Amino acid sequence: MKAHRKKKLSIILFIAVGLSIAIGLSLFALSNNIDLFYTPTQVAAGEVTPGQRIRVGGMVKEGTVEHNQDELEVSFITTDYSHDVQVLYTGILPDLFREGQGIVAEGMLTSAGVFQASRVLAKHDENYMSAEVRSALESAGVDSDGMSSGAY
Amino acid sequence: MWLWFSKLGSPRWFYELSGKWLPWLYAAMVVFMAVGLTWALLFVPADYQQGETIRIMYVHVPVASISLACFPLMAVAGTITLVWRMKLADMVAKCVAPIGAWFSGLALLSGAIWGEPIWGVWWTWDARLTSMLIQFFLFIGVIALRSAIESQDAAAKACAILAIVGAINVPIIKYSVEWWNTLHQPASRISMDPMAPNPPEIWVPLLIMIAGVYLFFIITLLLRTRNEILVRERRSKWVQDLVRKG
Amino acid sequence: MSEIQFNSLAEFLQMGGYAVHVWLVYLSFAVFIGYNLLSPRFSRQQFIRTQKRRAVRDAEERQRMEKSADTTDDRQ
Repeated sequence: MKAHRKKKLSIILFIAVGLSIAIGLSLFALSNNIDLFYTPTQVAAGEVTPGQRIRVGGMVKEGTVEHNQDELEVSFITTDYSHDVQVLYTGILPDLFREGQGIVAEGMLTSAGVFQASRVLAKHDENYMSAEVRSALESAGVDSDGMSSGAY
Repeated sequence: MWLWFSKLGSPRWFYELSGKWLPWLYAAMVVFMAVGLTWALLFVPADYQQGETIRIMYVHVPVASISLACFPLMAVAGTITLVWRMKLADMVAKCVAPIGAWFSGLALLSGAIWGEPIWGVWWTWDARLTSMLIQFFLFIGVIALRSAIESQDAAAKACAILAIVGAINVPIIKYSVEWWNTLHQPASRISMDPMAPNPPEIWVPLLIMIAGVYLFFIITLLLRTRNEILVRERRSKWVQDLVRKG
Repeated sequence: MSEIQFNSLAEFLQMGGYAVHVWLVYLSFAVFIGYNLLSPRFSRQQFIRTQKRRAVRDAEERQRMEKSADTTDDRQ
């Protein structure tokens, strides 16, 4: 490689590295504004101010879903297996919503410590399989929590 | 090696060589797509949770993952343009941009259609979705930048720099699902075991579709690059001979 | 490879209640493939057409120039 080409290449590399650091830092700063979610543990640790619009993500705790058919009201507990958050929601739930499913709820924490959701999204995990494989795994005694714990 | 390199840089030589490759690439693409699509639509079992929407994955994943190859390719071509001033590299860089926009656009569209029933929302400002949208706009930005600058040399340089800078977004898209708590799930880990999550019956047809869509990407890139060669070399004798014949 | 997952054509088209979603994605995929293979072919044909026209026009221009050059020669 000729000397002036080498110089040119090093200038380009310098600009690219410099700009990438700048962009990386600004994206890092921006990431607070992207809709990320808090885990129930973070909520319990007091990282969330009541009244602030946030998202909470966790698993729907088995046996805690209570429907009020007339008003489309639903109440359930979302958990990350160390802490729980009580969620209240009025509206249509996504197809994937069920007990043991990972969900992300959008809304705000009331001063009573209950999460009033304005929207509930289902979060599916990265495990795809047929119903046959799933039931075979279940009957083999594979812990369903262990399998989907990465899902929330 | 250097001789080969400079030969590859000759648009005419590339035009003739790619013309010989195209029929084979077409044939391979048809085979992979036919097998992949039939398998994905008819033979893949429904997911235990998502049901038949799993079939959307066989379009969404190949398109989204190949869209991530476009910016690095454009950045490499841009570096070659800036350092060695190879004409062909800039032609490739110019032709990748609209293809990248198409791939990013379809990844966003198919993801939205998939998310609507499964997540309960077709769009959200999730880190993965947002970074993919940024990539889409970056491709539009590269196209706009090139059309805004009249001098071909200046446009090539400006686009090369934007491509190199924009390539930083690619690892952000890829690792967004691991770095942040996102609604989009992380990448699946495939399993050789037929009785485990993500068994071969699910990922083998996916690999076939990825191969088919990659072949499609190469074909459409070659077609566009060949057109660009003809346009830029229209005053040369070999292009004028070709026009007279065809 | 497992067997075909649907018992009838109707069942296949219904896609377990997700017909709109699944078929909309595959339709947009078809449009995506079709457009990106056909549009470069069309622009190539168009390029060849305009270049041919230009070649004809250039040839005519040249002839006219030569003719007018001839007539001026005659006058002299």
